[in-house]
Amino acid sequence: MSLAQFVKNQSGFANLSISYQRGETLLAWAMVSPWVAGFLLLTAFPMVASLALSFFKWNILSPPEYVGLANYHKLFFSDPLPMHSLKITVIFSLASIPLNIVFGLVIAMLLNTNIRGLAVFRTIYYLPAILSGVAVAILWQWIFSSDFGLLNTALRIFGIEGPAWLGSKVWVLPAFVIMRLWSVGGGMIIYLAGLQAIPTDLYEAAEIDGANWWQRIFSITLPMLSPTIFFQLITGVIFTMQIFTETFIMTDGGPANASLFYLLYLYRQAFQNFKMGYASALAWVFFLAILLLTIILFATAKFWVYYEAESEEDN
Amino acid sequence: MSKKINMSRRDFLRLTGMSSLAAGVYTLPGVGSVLAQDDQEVTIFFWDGPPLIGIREKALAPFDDAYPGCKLNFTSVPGGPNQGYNDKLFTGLAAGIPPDVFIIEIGLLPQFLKDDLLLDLKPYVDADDYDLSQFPDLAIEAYTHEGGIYGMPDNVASIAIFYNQDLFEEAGAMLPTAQWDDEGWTVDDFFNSCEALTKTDANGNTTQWACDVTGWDKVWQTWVRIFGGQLVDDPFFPTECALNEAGAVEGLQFYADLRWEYGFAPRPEAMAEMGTGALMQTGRLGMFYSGSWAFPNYREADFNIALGHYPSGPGGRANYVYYYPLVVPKTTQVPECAWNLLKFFNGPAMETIIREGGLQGTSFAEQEKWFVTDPLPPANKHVMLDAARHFVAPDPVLTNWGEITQIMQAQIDLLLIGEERDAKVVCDEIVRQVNPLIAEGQWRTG
Repeated sequence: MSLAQFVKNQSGFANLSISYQRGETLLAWAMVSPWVAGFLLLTAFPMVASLALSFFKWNILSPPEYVGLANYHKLFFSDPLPMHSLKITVIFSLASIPLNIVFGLVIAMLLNTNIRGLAVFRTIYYLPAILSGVAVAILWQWIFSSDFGLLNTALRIFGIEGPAWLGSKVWVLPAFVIMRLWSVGGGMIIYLAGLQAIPTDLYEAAEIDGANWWQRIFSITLPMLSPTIFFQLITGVIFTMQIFTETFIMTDGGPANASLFYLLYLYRQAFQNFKMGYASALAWVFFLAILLLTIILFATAKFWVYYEAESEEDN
Repeated sequence: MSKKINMSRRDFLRLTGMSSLAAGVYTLPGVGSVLAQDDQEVTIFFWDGPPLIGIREKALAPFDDAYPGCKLNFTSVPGGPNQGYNDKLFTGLAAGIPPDVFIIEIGLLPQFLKDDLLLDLKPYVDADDYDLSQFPDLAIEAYTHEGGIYGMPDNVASIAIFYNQDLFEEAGAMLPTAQWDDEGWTVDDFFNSCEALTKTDANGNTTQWACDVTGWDKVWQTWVRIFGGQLVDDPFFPTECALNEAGAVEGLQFYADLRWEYGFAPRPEAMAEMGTGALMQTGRLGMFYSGSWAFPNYREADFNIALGHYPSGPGGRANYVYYYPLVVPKTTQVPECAWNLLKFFNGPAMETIIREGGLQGTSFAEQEKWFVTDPLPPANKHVMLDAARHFVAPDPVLTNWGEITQIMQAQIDLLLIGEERDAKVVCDEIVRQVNPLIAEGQWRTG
């Protein structure tokens, strides 16, 4: 074979290889294109449009009118309800997220033991997590009924006269916190998976070293589970701050705006008062607030989240 | 014997693409109907759930036969205006393909009129010499703008007092009057009846309440009017909120005191979440406020239930009547069919709807003929018709009345849940918050 022929053959192989790679790339793009198209059309474009809309006054019925920063000025300086609703949402989140993490974890630990009927218990605890939000809201509306509800009936057995859970400014937020605890099963499943991924030899070694139950929990379980807890914290913050269905169905923000969560207020502005521009401004401020919170949480992760892989790399 | 057709992948794709294109073209506005037949499709939107959705659909079904050339397309988005209906309607409006006839809340009508979105029905009314006097004057006046008429009533739904006649008689209490112009049944009579009806046990716990104190805006607004107050200075051309004037404050204070001062009405911890139904059905409540939609709940009640008017006070007797309009968008391609549908709805269809227990009705004659004569409980159904005839309290005509009521309601809640006991404080705060919004919502001058 001449040198020229050899070179020609090689370049032909290279061409074939490039063409194969290009085909693979095109195929990959074709495969993901439904999702990409969906994302661009149904998420990215509406997001950009809503950002633009936040500088307009628009009631859907008539053409948008450019108002500059007026919507943002109103949001921060003249309308008291956005900050009121944000405050309520934050208070609710501060109460609800830690409780959900702790309860989810405790239940997962209990269900990570060898007891009879384990699968049944796991199913029972998980069931509420798969129910529709509207059905759950209606169910809890009955449970919270002060005169006939299950909760107050149970309290009466112990001689306690329960409050008007949803009719009281003081008790309406605790009612929603209790209600959210009911669906703690969703987080429990994830904790359970995390718990089962912890190598048992760590516990065996600790036991040989004389570690008691608490020491094993704080020195092995929690550090090894910290990535899972971190994940639950991040998703919990986003999920909890977005509370809407429960208050929309059960209280419509009342009484006296005591359960006017941020998204309900946004919904009212958009779909009841048809102030789409103002609602878009509300949405963007909320998005940025959650983004900022998420960034802060990520920044704190290095102080308390333990990744085994990173630790091995360090060694 | 079947013959196998061989088709290449390319042919299959071509066929699929052409079918999709044909389907897409067919669904373009107007094309499908032109291709299908010469009938003009007229789409109507309601927000009813069961059973009314079925009653309306059945009542409107003969429309196609009554008006050859028009074909009805009936759609209902169950749950009311804020449960998906408005989303669907406004999306259609924004896309330029609204239904040809649709119901809207009366509070939205000013915005639709301001944006010049609706078809003026006056030429059709005049051409057919259509009798508008069969409807409440105030409703038609509310649909009227600069000489044009922009809606026809969907229903006229009065609110009345529903009372447990057995409990009243047992307590020796005066019954709510069923005659609008009755000189009796004043606020004092109402108070005395409440006193007689309210019962407590040996421990001082209330076992039977006289009345309901609900946060329902139409009820507290009626109490404002009974005491001579009003929501705004002029409902058709509002310039400021009038809720802090003496009559309004007195009415709200009386209403709240029924619960907090006198204990005639259950406190929130006794009934806020469950509404009044359970207490009424179990014979622990003397009276409450509702409309004809509550009738089916009491058809089989084991007590005698009847309707009565609100008491009269310094401002006379008052009431509230819902008068949501059915409107036609200006852009409709089938205005004649839309008008025919409105006539059919308020004519033959309405008779069926009333007789099947769906609505109170729109015209006075039909209400008298079918609604009032319905023998099923509750008794005194003519109270509803009376209330519609004497209806004098339209919603203020502002483009943002819905938003204003949200602000008002949050403050009224404070009074009704006992967080604030002084109605004047609440009313002053409402006026402070609402007046700038009234200025924002004005869109026409008197």
